[in-house]
Amino acid sequence: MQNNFNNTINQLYNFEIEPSQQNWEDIECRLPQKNNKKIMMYWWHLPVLLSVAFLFIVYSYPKNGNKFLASINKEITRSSNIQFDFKNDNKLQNINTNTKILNTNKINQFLNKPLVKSVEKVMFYKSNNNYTNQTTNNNSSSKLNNSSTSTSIKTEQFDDENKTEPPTNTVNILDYNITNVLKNKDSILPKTATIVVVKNDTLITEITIKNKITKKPLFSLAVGYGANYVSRNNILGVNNNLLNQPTFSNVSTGSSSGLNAINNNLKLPLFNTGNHFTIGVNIEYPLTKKILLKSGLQYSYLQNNIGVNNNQINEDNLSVGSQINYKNTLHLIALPIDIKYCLNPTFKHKISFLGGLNTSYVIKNNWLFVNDNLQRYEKNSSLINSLILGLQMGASINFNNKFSVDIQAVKTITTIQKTLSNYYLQQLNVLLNIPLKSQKK
Amino acid sequence: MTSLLLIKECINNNRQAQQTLYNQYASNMLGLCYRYTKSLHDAEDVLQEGFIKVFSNLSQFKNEGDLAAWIRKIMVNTAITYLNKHKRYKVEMQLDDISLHPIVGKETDIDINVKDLVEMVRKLPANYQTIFNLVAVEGYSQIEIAEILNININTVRSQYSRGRSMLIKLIENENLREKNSYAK
Repeated sequence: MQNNFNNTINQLYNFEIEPSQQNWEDIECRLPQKNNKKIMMYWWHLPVLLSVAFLFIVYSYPKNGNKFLASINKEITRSSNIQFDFKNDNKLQNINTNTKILNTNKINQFLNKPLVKSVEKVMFYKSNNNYTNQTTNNNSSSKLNNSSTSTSIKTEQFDDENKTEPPTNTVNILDYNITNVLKNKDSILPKTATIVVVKNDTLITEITIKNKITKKPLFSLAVGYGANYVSRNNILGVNNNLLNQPTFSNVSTGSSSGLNAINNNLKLPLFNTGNHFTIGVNIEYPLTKKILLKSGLQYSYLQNNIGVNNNQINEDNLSVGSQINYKNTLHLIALPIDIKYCLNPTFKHKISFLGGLNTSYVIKNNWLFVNDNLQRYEKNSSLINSLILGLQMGASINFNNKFSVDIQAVKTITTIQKTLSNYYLQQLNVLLNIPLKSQKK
Repeated sequence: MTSLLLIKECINNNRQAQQTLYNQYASNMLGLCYRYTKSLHDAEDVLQEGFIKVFSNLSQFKNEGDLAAWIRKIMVNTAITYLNKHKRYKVEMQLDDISLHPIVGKETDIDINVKDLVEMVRKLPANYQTIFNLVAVEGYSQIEIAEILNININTVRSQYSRGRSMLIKLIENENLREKNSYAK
């Protein structure tokens, strides 16, 4: 008997109770959403690469001109290989000076270039062992003159006999001058600029400075509003009296006239409209004088109204009735990356064209779908593409460097719903960009 | 779907795979939870909690082991945590460290089916019920149980013995009652 008892106890190990369906549903509610790691990785490739490229461009450019200066120093060092020694006239004589003749006009022309405008000193060497220190007549060296303003030069003589020593290291003087340029410069420099050293109006060396942009990125607060439409929103035409059923049995054409036949289960190639608002931060970075890189991080609340027919089937088997609206909504976090081309960079009000890629991540949805089997889904994250890629293009007007207005059209290139093709979102955005820090003119 | 693939899909939060895994083990695990608790509702709570832990920690499961045993272990631990957490069990679970002398009962003339035995086990005080389940059904050693419940090994030994004796007594009383009802 004891064995019998022990056997029964052993059977307890496999004792089973069939759980109710509710148990699984409760567990399912508490489980995290499907892990789309692989898909995420795939979709994130492009935006991540673009973001990295963007950051690289932004941070590879100098913020304080040090790299610019380093670049100039490199050029100067290279030029110095030709024995750029003011004390040793013999060495200077050996340099081929016949390359170019510079007259005063040429010098002035050079000095009037935007880069050199605020250079305070440029050294010139004279063959009679006098050194000329030319100083720009700049009353306020910390401020830039307008490009139209010419620079006057006063000449100061250095005489060996009077033991007036010229600066021994011209390179340093150049450094000093250029540092000033960098400190004061707030506009985009020309592609190249030249600093010359002349002897008796004859060029002895020419230092080409590669242009670097000293402008810092501009951050702005972006606030926008726009209209959108969704193509092939196949819910259109579903009778409202069937809306609460898990499976629709009848789908009408959705014609407001009610003359179209019902029960044809058609999904209409129509689209539905809605609106959205956007708020976020934008960053603009000038690549050249005319071309800027623009990106940002924006939150959008998008609403799309779909017409659901409140139709009833009459005796003639025709649908009659009116439409009611169902509000589909999406909460999106968007990462737009645009290239912006400015048509008139020197104007007070600037007009630009822009275009690029918009990557949106759906953080929440309240979207109604009907699949091919006419099954209804609502707020189902697994049916929505969590990442929606879009192409965008438009125009931008910058008003007096104070704020800008962008008008952009966006078209998604990935469908909203995973299983349905041709299910795209189109948006027209009007975005106001207010600089977070006032921009210098 | 193979077991390995099923586990992999569950780790990826594939809902269908998770439901398959749940369906595979839920009945047995609910039976287990039921033996540790006093009501079906509590058992279902433990089951849900246990499966959440299973799915959350499935990536830590080493494939060379037995998945069923691994899930079972999680369920047992979840049940014990649940009992310690809830007031109505907690009072009964507060085992003192005083060694109790085991009651040696006669295990004669015991004839009971599994379902009835489960109900009898559930009539035991919570501490006896837990230790009985751990020792007699799950096969845990007394040292392991002492560690799990954080009590003295002698307490485990005596509680088990007392629980077993009490269970036999309950069964005998029940059998006797049934016999009497038949006789009437």
